[in-house]
Amino acid sequence: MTIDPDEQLLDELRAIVARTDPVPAHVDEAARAAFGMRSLDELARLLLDSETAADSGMRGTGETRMLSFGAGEVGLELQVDVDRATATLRGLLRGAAGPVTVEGADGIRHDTDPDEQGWFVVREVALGRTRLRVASASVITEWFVL
Amino acid sequence: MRDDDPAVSVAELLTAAAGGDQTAWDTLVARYAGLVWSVARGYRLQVGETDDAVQNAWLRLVENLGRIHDPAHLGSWLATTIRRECLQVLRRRGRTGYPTEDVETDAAVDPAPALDAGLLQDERSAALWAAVNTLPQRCWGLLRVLMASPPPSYAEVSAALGIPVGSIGPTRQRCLDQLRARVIGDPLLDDSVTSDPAEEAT
Repeated sequence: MTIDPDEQLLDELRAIVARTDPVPAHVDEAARAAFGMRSLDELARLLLDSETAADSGMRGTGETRMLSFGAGEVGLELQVDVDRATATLRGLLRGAAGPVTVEGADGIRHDTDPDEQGWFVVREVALGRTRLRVASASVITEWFVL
Repeated sequence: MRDDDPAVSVAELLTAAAGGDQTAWDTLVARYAGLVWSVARGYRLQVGETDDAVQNAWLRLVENLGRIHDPAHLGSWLATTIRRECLQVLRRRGRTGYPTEDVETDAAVDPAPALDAGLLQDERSAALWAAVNTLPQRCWGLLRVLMASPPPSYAEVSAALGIPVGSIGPTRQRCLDQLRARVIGDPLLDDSVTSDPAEEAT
């Protein structure tokens, strides 16, 4: 059997990294717990994020970030203004009516009732992983990071 | 190497997890945790950033459990997902004033802190680990992914780094050569790492 010296070196590195840099227990635990965030709602895809559309000329409009989500007929437009540790979300719900729930990865939820045109505002949302749910339409957005 | 029955296919696990089976989910995590973690570590994020990126990748899979069209390539899907999460972390640094290191450059970087070295009982391993940490980002990122357990497929490596499969072999070769060059003269590593049986035979 031929021993490839490159393979040998990589095997040695793999053995080293298994000791120096294994998946930390808390990361593993969090990954298993992520299953608890499973939702049976229809997923509203992130269609546009001004933060990642850096080349489209959408940047440079100050600190305001625009996000757009869609699931079939239901659409959510979101304007995000970050002030220190919290964000203000100004949104427009289209194609559905009823409360919008802002959910953080820490489980904290804010409920808001959009007005007749579908506009809503949620203030002091903690930064971090967030998603929005429209229970009446059984729609939930992808996670996004504030 | 895997602590579950390898006969249970990824497709079956995905279906079971989509139906609410936590055990199936845990099995998926066990199979791919090493890959996801290794890809993230390859991007040299800050400690908390790595954890967040990894968690985001798992949450993406939870969201998409019923929508993985090609279960045989779940590893590549996860590798792509964690790469995107890591790149987003790096992009966000620009916005939040964090120092940004261009992950695409070949610039040399500071050696990683020696905090891990104490865990390595033998000096040879410690020296090798220190040397690999001083490699340029392009090499570190590739080698760190290749160090994942179980070893990743080239398709997974390609997805993890956003590079063509065909470039992995040559880059790997060049990076391992660079690693060897860095340990030349190190009495602990010189002979044993650089020795090439093929060369000695000629």
